[in-house]
Amino acid sequence: MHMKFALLGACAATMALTAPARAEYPEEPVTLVIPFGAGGITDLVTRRIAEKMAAGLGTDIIVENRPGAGGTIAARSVAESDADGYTVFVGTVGSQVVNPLIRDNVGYDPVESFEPVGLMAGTPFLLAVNPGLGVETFGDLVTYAKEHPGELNFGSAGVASSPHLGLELLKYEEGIDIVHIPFNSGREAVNAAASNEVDMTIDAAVVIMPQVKEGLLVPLMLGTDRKMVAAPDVPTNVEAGAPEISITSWNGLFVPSGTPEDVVSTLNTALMGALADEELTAALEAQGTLLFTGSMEEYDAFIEAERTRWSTIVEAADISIN
Amino acid sequence: MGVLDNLALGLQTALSLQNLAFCVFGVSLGMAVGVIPGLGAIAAISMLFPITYHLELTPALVMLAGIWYGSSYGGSTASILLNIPGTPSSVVTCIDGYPMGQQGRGGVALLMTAVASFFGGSVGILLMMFFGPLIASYAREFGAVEYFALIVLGLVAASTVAQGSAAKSLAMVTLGLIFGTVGLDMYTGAERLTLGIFELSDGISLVALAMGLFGVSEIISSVRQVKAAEVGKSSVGLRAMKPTREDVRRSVLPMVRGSAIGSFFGTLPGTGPAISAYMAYAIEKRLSRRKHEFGKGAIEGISAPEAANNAADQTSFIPTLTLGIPGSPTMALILGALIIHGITPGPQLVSEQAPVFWGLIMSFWIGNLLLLVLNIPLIGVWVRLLLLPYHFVYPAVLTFIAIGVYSVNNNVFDIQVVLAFGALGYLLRLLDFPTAPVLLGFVLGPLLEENFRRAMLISRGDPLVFVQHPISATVLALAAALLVLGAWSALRQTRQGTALPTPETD
Repeated sequence: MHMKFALLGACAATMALTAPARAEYPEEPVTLVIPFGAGGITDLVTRRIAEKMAAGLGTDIIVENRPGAGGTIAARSVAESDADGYTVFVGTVGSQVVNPLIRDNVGYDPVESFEPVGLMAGTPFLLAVNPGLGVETFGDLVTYAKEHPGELNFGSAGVASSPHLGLELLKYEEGIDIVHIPFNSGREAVNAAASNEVDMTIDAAVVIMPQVKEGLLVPLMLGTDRKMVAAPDVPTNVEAGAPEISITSWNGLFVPSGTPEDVVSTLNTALMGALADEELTAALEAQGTLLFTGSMEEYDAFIEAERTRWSTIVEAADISIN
Repeated sequence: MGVLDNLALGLQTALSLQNLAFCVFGVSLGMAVGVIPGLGAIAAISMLFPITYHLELTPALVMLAGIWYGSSYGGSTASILLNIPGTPSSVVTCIDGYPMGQQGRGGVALLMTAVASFFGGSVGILLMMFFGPLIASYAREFGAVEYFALIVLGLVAASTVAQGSAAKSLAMVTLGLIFGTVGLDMYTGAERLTLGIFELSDGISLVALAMGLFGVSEIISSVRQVKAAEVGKSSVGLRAMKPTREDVRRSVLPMVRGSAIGSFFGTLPGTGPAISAYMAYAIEKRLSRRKHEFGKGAIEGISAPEAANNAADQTSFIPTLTLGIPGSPTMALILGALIIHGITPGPQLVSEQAPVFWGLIMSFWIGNLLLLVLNIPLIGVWVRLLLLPYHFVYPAVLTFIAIGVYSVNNNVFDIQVVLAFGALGYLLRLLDFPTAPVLLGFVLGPLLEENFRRAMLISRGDPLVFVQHPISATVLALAAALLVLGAWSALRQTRQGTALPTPETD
C-alpha cells in the first residue's frame, strides 16, 4: 500500500517536472489535415479559420489536403500519428459518423481514436423540387409522394453522400417511396433537377439558390431549425412541420486520443477565438454556412445525436460501401 | 449592354497591370508545366490554389485559367521530341508528332502545333463570347440518354485510331474499360477490382495512367540509347521550323474540324480535352485519303488534335461558369476559386459578374496571343534539348513525373500506380499492342456505363427511351450508319482481294 503511494508520488513528481515544458505548446508549426482536395467548402472554412487560429496560437499553421476514399485515408493517418497536438484532423460528418457505419475496416474508431477540439462550421441543406411537379410546400410533396409511390426520382451527389442520407431520412420519417438516382456531384444532381431529368434534390443553399432565382427549382424546406440569410424566404424544418428532417453537413477539429488535456484546451481556446470573428461569420453566412458557437458538452451532444440519427438511417436503408 | 460595351469592359479589366501580370505568370507557368511530362495543370493549380485565398477574384481566375490552357500549348512538345506526352491531352500527338521529330521535322511539328493550338483556342473563345449562355442552356438539356448515345457514336467513330491489328486495338480498348471500372460502383457503393487496396476505391487517376503507360514505358524501352538523338545541326535552325506550303494546306481543314470537335466535347462535362484530341485524330484518319501516312508523321495527325484540345480547354469554361458543373478536377478547382470569393457560378454569372466574365474572356485572348508569341522563339530551345544525352533527360523526366503525380493527392500510392502502368506499357510494347486505345476505353467506358445505368434507372428499365428521345435517336442512327459503312467498305475490299488500303497519289 505504502509502496503504491510512493510510486504515485513519484509519477506526480515527474509530471510536475515535465508540465512546464509542455506548457510552451506550440513550439513548432501545427498541421491541419483536410480529408478533401482544395476548393471545397471544408477547405474554405478550414483555411479561413486556420489564419485566425495561427494568430491566437502564435505559430504557423500548415493546411494539408489529403483526399481519398471519402476522407478515410486522412482520418486513418491522423489517428495513427503522434498525440502531441501538432497533427490536427479536420473531421466531418463523413469521417466521424457516416464512413465507419458504411465501410468495413476504416482503420480507426471515430469515438476511441479521436478527441474533439471543437466544431467549426455547419452547412444546412435545402430540399428543392422541379416546378413542373406543381408542388409548393413540403406537405404537398409528402401528399404527392404518397399518391404516387415509387414514381418520384431524387438526384443525389452519390451513394452515402449527405443528400442521399437526407433522402433516406425523408423516406424513413414520412413513410414515402422515392427512387434514388446518384450523380457524380451535387451540382450535377441539382442541374438534373433544374432540367427536369429528376424531380427533386437536396443540396447546400449556395448550389440550389441560383437555380431558384432562375425559376428552375422550387425550394421547399431547410434542413435546419434556423432561418438562413442565404435563403431567407425558405421555411425551416420546424416551420414546415417536419423538425425531424435535420440535414447539415458539418466539420470540426479533432486530435488523436491521448493528446494531453492542456494541449487540447490551448487548441480549443484558439479555435473559439477564430470562430468569434464577426467578418468571417457574416461572409460564410451569406453563402449558407454557419459557424458553431457553444460548449464542449453541447458539441458532444450534437455529435452523439448525429450518430444516433444516421446509424438508424444507414441501417434502415441498408447503405454500405465495400 | 451591347457586345462592344462588354468587350471594352473586359479589355479594360484584362489590361489592368495586375491582371496582365497574373496572365503572363499563369500562361508561362502553364506552358512550362505542360512541357515537363508529369507536371500538368492539375498539379500546378493544386499547388497554387491556396494563394488564391489572398488574391482578388479576377487575377486569381486569370492566373488559374492561364495555367490550364497554357499547359495545352506546352503538352505537345515532349510528345514530339521524346514520344512522352506532356499531359494526357497530348497522348495522340505522339503518334504522328514523334515520327516527324525523327524525320528532322520537329521544328515544323512544334510550329504547327503552336499555330493549331492558337487556332483552336480562338474558336473556343469566340464561341464562349457569342454563344456561351446559349450553349449552356443546350448543354443542360443533355441528360443521361443523350450522353449515352453520344458516347456510343464517339466509340464507333474513334475505333480506327490504332495502327495494325484491329483485334489488338479492340483488346486495348477493353483493357481501358477494365481499368475504368476500378473503384466504387457509383450506383451501389460496391468496390470493383480494388484488390482490397483502400486507395483504389477512388479509381485510377487519368494522369497516373497516362504518365505510366505512355511516359515511363517509353523511358524503359529506350533506356539503352544513352547517346543523344541524331539531330543534325540543320534541323534546329530557324529555317527548319518553316512549314512547307503543303504542310499548311494539309493542316487547314483538320484544324477547322479539330476545333469544332474540341469545342463540342469541351462543353460536355466529363469528356474534356483528352477525348477531344483523340476524336479529332480519329476523324482525320477516317476522312484522309492518305491513311497510310498516319502514324508515320502525317501533319494532320498533330494539327487536328492540338486544335481540338485547346478549343476544348476554352469551351469547358462554359459549363463550369454558367451551369456550375466542372468537367474535370482542374475545372473543379477553378470553380472553387469562384466559391471562395463568394461568387456563385450559375446562369446569372454572365450578367451579374460582367467585369469578371468579360475580363476573363479578354484575358484568354491576351494569354493565347502571348503563348503563340512565346512559343515560336522557344521552339529552337526545345529542339536543342534533344542534343542532351538521354541519361540526363530521362532521370529528370522520371523525377518530374513522380513529383507531379504525388502533388495532386499528396499520396505515395499514386507514384506506385505510375510505375505499375510503366511496366505494363513496356510489356504491351514488347508484344506490339497499341497503347493509345487504352485511354479511349478508360475515359469513355465509365461515362458510358454511368449514363446507361442512370437512363435505365430513370426509365425504370425501359430501353426504348434511347429511340424516344429525338437527339439520342438521331445520334444512334448516325453511329449505326457509320458501322454499316465501315462493314461495307471492309467487305468490298475483301471482295476486290486487296485487304491493304491502296495508297493514293495526290
